[in-house]
Amino acid sequence: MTRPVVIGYGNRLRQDDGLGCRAAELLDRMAPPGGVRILECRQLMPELAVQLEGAPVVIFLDAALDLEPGAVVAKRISAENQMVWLHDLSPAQLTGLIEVLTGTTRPVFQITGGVSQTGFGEHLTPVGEQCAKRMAEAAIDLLQ
Amino acid sequence: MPRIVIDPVTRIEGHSKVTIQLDDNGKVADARFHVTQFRGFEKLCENRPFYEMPSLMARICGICPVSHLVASAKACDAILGVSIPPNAARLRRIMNLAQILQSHALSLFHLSSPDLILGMDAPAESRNLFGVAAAVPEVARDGIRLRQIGQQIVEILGGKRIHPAWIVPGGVSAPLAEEKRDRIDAMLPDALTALDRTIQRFRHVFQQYTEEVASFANFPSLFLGLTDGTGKLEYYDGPLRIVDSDGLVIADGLNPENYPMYLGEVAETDSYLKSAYYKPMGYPAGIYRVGPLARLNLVTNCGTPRADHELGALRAFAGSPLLSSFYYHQARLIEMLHVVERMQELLAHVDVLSPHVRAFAEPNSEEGVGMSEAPRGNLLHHYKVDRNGQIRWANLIIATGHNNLAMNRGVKQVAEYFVAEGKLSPGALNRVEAVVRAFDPCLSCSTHAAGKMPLEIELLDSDGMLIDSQRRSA
Repeated sequence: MTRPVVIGYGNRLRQDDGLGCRAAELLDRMAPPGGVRILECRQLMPELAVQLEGAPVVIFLDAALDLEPGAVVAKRISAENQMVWLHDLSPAQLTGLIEVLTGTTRPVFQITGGVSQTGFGEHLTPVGEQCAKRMAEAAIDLLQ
Repeated sequence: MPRIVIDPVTRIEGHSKVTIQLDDNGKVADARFHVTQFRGFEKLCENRPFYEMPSLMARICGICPVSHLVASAKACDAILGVSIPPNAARLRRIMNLAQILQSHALSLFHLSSPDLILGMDAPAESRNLFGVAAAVPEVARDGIRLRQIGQQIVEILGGKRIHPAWIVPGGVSAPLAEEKRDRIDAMLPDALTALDRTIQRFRHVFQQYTEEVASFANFPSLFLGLTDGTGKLEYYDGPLRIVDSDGLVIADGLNPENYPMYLGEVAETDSYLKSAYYKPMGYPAGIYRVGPLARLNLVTNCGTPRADHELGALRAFAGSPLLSSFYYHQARLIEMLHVVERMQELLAHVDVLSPHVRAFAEPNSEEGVGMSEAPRGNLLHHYKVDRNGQIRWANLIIATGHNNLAMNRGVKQVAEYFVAEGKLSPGALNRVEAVVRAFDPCLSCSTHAAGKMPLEIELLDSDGMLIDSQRRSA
């Protein structure tokens, strides 16, 4: 695999917690066909490491509780090499696992969006929907 | 009387603690494995319609939801009073085998390989999947890949990796499409290649652990599990067989529906996990083990060539039956080989794409028992319904409950072997945990917990005063 990989993750049944998934879905429509591989999942598991091994760039899309609703932040991720809980890795831990498995590094970014509400519900809030769009645009900017 | 408490036990599925009771001379007097959380699925499902049970019961566990789907759906088949179409059973088997592959890979590679590859006395901070990946990247990669293959097969069949709803009362909800069959089939050679590499590498690794073989729950007990009726490995259906520690079959052809006649359960005051025992021998003499080790002790052979070759090699090296629970690891590896070979056989069946995959009926019985083999061992669901099909009573016997007596005895044996002068060295601590880990208990099934895994050990004197403690944060 030589394409960049974008992973949107979160819970689509908890309103804006699904921001990352929705942003990945929007990105899939906005990005050039075949230019990027887009994955969606509930949480980051070790098994993702073998899917990301050959990717030249990895971008994680996630919801954030510690941002203002609708705010979007992009940052570069550094690898972390400690793991306690196997069923739910952070982007930094997953990055670390890829690096230790392959002995190679690649640029890894995380784009987070501030949630408005995370109650039960299959749809984002209006604020969340706008936020997901900006997250997808931010991913496009990074990929370019 | 002083005691040592290990709370919680790490790198297992769920939360538990271990108490080691010392005598006045600092020697181990007793040891107990406590499961410290409660779930109560048997009560919360009461008054639910029976046809909801497979999906509801699958929520017991995120690791082996398919096992609960299978056992639950079989209990519901019995309530419907139907024989499901042969291809429905075939497809259920494939999903169950895929789940065994991913669960065994999780246990062997993610949870236990840090001990096995890096050593029981390696620094605790490096005994994790990162440590294994740093030391032997190809082992970590193979483990991750094998688990991924198992999960992908479950997802292809059921729509999602965790809690798929495809297995339903009466069969499965949709037939297998040719494209999906081909996708699954294409992954299996890769799994076999990874397993071949793993077997070669681990053959030497396992041979280093002579002390652990000697002390890890190495004692006579009974072994219980399903067979195919002819003495081969079976995970989906079939009669129960029980063998003793000499390999003699003491009961065979047991009908799972009659389990109350030969299986008993005891609730202990210090654990939320019940202990199952073989009734004719009483409690606790009727101690038995289930799971990969027990299954391989029960059968004459696996029934697939590669797995049979490895089983023969293990028996030639270690004898038969295998009494040390350390051999659960090797048994898990052989079973992984078998389940991949078995999936290939099932996918090659001429009727695997048959559209006849579900029987429909109203409830025809007020009671149903479903039994299958989960990754960790025998799994039983038993429901009683009213005339409207609402659940009135449920009983589940989970693999970890079957193994509870053996795990307790194993913890005591390891503690006796490795605890010295009333002190628990880090290496001894890890071995006490590792013997529990060898059984791969899933407290998520028998009770449940989720969250981080801090570790606290306290050494108390006979008055309950703290005299030593160790803490490892999450």
